[in-house]
Amino acid sequence: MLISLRQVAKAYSPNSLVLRNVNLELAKGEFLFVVGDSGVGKTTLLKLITAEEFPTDGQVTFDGIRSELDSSKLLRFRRRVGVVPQDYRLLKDRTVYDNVVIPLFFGRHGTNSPPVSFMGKGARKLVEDAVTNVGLPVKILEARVRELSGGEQQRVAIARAIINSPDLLIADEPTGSLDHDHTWTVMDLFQKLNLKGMAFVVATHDREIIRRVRKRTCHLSGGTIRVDDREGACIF
Amino acid sequence: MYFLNAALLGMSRRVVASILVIFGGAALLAAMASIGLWSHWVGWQKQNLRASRTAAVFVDSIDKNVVEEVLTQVMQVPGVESARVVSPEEFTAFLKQHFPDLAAATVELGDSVIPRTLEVVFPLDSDTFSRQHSADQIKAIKNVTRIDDGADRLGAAIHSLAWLSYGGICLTIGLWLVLLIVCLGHYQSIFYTDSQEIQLIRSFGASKFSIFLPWLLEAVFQSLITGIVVVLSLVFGRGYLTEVYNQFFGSLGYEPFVLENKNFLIVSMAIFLLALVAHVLGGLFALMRGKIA
Ligand SMILES: Nc1ncnc2c1ncn2[C@@H]1O[C@H](COP(=O)(O)OP(=O)(O)OP(=O)(O)O)[C@@H](O)[C@H]1O
Ligand SMILES: [Mg+2]
Repeated sequence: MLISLRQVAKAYSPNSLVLRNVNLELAKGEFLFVVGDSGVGKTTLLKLITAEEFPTDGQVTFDGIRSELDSSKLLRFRRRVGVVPQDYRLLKDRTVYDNVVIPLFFGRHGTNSPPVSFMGKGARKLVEDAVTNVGLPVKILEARVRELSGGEQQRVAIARAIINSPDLLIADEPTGSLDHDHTWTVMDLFQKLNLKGMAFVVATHDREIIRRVRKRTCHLSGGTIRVDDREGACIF
Repeated sequence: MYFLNAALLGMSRRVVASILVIFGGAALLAAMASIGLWSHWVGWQKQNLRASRTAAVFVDSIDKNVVEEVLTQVMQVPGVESARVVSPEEFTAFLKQHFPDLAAATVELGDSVIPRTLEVVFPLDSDTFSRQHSADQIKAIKNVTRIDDGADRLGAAIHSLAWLSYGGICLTIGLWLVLLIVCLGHYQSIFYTDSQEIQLIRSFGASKFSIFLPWLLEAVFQSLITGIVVVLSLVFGRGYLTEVYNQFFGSLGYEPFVLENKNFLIVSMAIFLLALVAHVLGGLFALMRGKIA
């Protein structure tokens, strides 16, 4: 199993549990949607998976590693994961290039990605490919992130997450700021990458995506996974 | 190379703060260097003041042969490094310089009233006890009226010189602490403004080391530039410093201050080291206070 959560509970303050009794297993190369009402804890669940937050109770393991126990293995795990945060977390004063290239600093650690030095021409090529794949023009690389529209920024965050060819991509509302066409550019890209073996956990509000992509879907409500729909057949 | 790049980029992004820290640090270090050198020199002077190593031996005769005889006997006293006869001309010149009235009087009275004296030099490392012993032996020599030991005369002055040099050293250390605090503030503000970036690269799997290295490099660069500025200003200010130092000791019979190339090199290296340590320690403290690594 790539990711496994066992009896996980999470509280930000002592008396209010955001998540409880969460059990989830994700195999290598699997695609998973996480859906649920706003404030139900989707982002929290994703942060538990990326070890940005640690569970109050229960266990989260990545490829057999327990996050809170082994920090050096955790570092290596993080280098195999791409993340698209809900709030993008881009360095606003830097250029798009500077932002997208960041994961290459720490090497490519995905199982099916050959190493590339972030300095050479290879890196430039990877950055260009990544932004083209999310539907951005190459000339945007020299622009500062601050000058971009919300949807462009979101796609820069996606490009940054995929540049390393990670084994797992965690995307929190990756199409929240995108119009219909760009939403499908991104979703098509995700499906293509999934076919190549990249696992996905995507939190979304977009029913159309769930309906059309038809992948495993976890419905969060009341702080736990109510439905774990393996076929993606159940439309909420 | 990423780290080098990040360090240079960091410095260029906060160019004003960097320049302030470099030049403020350089000013502090230059003050430290000159005060430190001065106190070192004062401490050294304390031991080397020629006057404090010498004694004047007064002979009760103006007969050349008697004086020569006394000289040979004085030279045989254990614990005497060297001795020589002070000529009457030399003595009058000394009087003229320091006691003009007396000099005028002696001119009228003629050569015969000028006492014949010997200048005795004790070795640098002689202690008070053996020196006293030698002085007693000299006193016992026939025709010697009295002996005037420079160490007794300069005792109080030497004592205060010692305190001056301690004060100078304390001031030097104090200035360095100020530099350390300046660096701490500088790096703390850097970590504060860059905390978003630090969090971000952490989430991409940056190790503590790779988070810290760019700032370490930045600290090294800044301290290098600071050191260069200080050493350059010392190179150009060397003559002036020497002059100022030498004015301090008026007529005490001091050894003039010279900054030899060898010592200059040592001082320069000390400056680089002090700058580096201040920057790196400042950075580390800031890092620990910010709980970033
Ligand atoms: N850092 C935090 N500190 C305290 N409470 C938090 C924190 N992060 C989230 N919460 C709370 O946890 C709950 C779940 O938040 P979360 O961001 O996981 O929701 P979500 O499902 O992602 O919502 P949305 O669809 O609006 O993004 C919310 O009630 C929120 O107030
Ligand atoms: Mg959310």
